[in-house]
Amino acid sequence: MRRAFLLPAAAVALAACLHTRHVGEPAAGGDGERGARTPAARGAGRRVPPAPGRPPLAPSPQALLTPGAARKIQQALASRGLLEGESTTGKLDRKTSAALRRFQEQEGLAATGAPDHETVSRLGLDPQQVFRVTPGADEQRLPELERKGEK
Amino acid sequence: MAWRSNGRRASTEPRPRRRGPPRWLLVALGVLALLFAALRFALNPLLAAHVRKVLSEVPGMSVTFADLSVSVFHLSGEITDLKIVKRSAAAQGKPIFYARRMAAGLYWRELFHGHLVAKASMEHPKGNLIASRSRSEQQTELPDIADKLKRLAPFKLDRIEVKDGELTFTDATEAERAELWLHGVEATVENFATRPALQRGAPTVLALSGSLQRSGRVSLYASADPLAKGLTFAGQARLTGLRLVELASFLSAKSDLEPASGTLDLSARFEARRGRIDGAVRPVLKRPEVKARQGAGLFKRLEAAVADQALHVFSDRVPGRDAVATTIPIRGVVNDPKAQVWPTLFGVLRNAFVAGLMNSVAGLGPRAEADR
Repeated sequence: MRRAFLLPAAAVALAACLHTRHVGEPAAGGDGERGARTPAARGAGRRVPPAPGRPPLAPSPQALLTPGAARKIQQALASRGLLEGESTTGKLDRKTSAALRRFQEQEGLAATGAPDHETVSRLGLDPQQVFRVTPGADEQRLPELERKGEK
Repeated sequence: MAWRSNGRRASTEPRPRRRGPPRWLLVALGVLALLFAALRFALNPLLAAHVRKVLSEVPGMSVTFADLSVSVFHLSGEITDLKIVKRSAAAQGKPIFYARRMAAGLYWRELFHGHLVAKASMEHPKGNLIASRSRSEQQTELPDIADKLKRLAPFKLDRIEVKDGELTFTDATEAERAELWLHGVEATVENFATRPALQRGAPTVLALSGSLQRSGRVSLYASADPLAKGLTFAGQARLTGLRLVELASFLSAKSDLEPASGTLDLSARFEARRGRIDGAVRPVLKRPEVKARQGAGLFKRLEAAVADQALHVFSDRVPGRDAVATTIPIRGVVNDPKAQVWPTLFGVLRNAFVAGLMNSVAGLGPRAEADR
């Protein structure tokens, strides 16, 4: 009889754990701890210089990647046979975009051809190492956040 | 074990000592389990009835859905066959929005950190926007969901995913209706936060790809800071290989010109900072030919001939490619502090497309510097 009562409780705990494992990993876009980022040296000319404490903005995905990240993405695609080895140029060109689209289709993701956080995670890369963020954006805006009670 | 003749256990034998949780705890757990089971079965119909009631009160809109289900364990919900119809435009039969399936879920782990972080997906959503001079027919206003989300507690949409979406834009401002059909849309929006603390120094990013009419391929990428003062975003869009004849209804409604052949490539770059929008659109027409629409007057026929001649003149300016290329600036100021990023962004793109297309096809002189 005791087992009958314990089973639902165990099932609840198991379901919660399983869910945490599968869904509870947000595509690390904006969550999780972020270390200090080296500002991207290349492609800086195409970026919109961020206002203090504001996130970086850019019209193209390349400019929102950290230096060398595009090559890592290409290598991950090449290792899966989706991109030719000689196409690892370090630039997100049309071939890379097409390869990303194929990978996204394989994974059941929206096939946009752009490197988003979920796609990068599934390529086995750490989005926090791949995408640029404004380091310490929250700290820079601490007085404003405290004023608004959003710290 | 000793038994009496009447079958009862002998009282002299000590009873075995009960181990484990007390009986009241087991009963309480049992009651809880029963309550939970009852709630599990009753939750979906109750919730569906409540949501139907709430949706029936949306002013001017009729919102229906086939089924709604939630999972308490997974902190997720799903709604199927959601349809939003503008009441005054219901006779037209085109819902302003339809989605075969929409799902959303919360992250357990983020809840433990006190954050409300969600993920959502839409399958086969369809939007029908109609621009019309008649207010009752016009359906361009979508429910302001983003604003409602912002009013909630600190909230973040970690990822919104759209698969196989469609958007039809009907221009009914002219006597002849013109239609643009964007389909096969695959799109993602990531890191949409309603509070700076959840944004974590990263922008909101939109990526989209799809097809325009039958032959055009569209891609769009934009990053935005929805929490900045004034509209702040940057992005680019590209359209390639669109056969001009597929724009016949659109062009003839606007200009009485009808494309005979040729393709259109179009790229646009745009940036908005604190409400000031700047950018450029560059349409490239390849081997274009236009003619006057059937039934057009003499003036229009003459205009078509001039336009066609102008196109050939432009074509000569790109040796060996037989293409027309101009760059048209996009400029504007959005003064409304409550203006939303995404509708404005799509407005910019729509204007860029129309300006780029009309400026080129009509063979008019470029409004800004002509490249190349």
